[in-house]
Amino acid sequence: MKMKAAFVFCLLAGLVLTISGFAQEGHPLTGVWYGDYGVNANDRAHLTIEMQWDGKGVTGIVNPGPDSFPLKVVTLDSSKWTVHLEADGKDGKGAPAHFVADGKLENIGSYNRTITGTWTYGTTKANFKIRRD
Amino acid sequence: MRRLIVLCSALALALITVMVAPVLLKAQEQPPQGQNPQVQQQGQRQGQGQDTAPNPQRGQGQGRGRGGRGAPAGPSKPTPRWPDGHPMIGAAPGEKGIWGACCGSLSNAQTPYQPWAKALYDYRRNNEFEPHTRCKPSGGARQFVTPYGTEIVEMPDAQKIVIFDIGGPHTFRQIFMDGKPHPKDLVPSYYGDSRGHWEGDTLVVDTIGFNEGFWMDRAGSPHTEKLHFIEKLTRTDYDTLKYEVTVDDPGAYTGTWSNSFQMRWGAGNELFEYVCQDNNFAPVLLIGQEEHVDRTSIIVP
Repeated sequence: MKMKAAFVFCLLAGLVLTISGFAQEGHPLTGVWYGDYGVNANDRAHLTIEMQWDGKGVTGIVNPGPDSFPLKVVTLDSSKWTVHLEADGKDGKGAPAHFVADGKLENIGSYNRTITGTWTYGTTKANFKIRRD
Repeated sequence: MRRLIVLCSALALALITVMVAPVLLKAQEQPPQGQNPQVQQQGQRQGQGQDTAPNPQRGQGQGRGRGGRGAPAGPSKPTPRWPDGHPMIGAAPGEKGIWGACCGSLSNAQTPYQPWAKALYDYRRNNEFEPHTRCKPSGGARQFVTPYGTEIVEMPDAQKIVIFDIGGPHTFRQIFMDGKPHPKDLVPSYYGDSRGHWEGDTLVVDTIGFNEGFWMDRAGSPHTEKLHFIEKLTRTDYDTLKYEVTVDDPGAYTGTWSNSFQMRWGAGNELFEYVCQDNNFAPVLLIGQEEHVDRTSIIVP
């Protein structure tokens, strides 16, 4: 049993290393981003955003999986490296919500660049930070 | 139990290797300032040009260490040709020689960037965090931008041409000359899929299937997986290789664009062993102003 667990662990570790080894130097938003949002440090909800540049626009989904929802608006102002996102989905408690995010793209030259900013849903204004993995 | 120990030891070794690599990857080779007029004219940035890596050819009396610097003064000899008449773009059988660096910057004032691509290009001009300098393979024209030169080996029997560069991670590009089209459903890769054919005295190389893990030139011209890269190589005389590039990437540019360069023949020069991870000695040149970037990741990004 231990052998099996070790084998699976090694396999997964190798897979993660392999996948992560492919840097992405194209459009700065393309990729999978992980992070969270919330009104304070103690009240956070997990956030995964996958974005893809098709040559004309960026499409994407939030929290891929059974509760995913698509991004309706994605804009990048490359003169300031600011990002604007909008989506209709569910908040951390499962209630329908319209999300509006405005953030700043940082460490652009890094594979693990980040976006930080405000994350608004309904009347609640939170902050968010996501990191490209 | 012993197998478990072996497995874990292997994993630990792999992790240690990957963790240590970024520390070793301080910087990679840089063309020596003023030693390659072509590159200097075509967009080398301020601060480049500190070649700190050892060159085994120095001090051995073999040529002068780099492609293009062993070329004799005076009129060049005519273009060497194969028995079938087409030009030799590499060394003739029994000869030694490599091509000097070219094309530091493909783009120019007329390059039709999309806004994000222009912004990213400008950003990279100040923040050099190039994958090549972290020992990643570099496709496109970047393969010809190393200070030690590039060797082109024609293999008529195998119906392929192979391009080797010194200064990268011991990789090579194959150009298939068998007349077959690009395969469908290509998996994106650093060098893509290159198909070549002759148009008169010009070798035309058509490449698609690139990944986005590299810069296609030294200056940081962005590209996407939609990149279609067309190269035309013409050996106009013994010492000169004309290198024309057309970039077709609707993901990053609003139209196709082209540029043209020349490489000089370094007669007598040869490839030598260059281990990228052992020769990175220029961290400032490597990362520019991005010294704050976290480089402690176990992954070389």
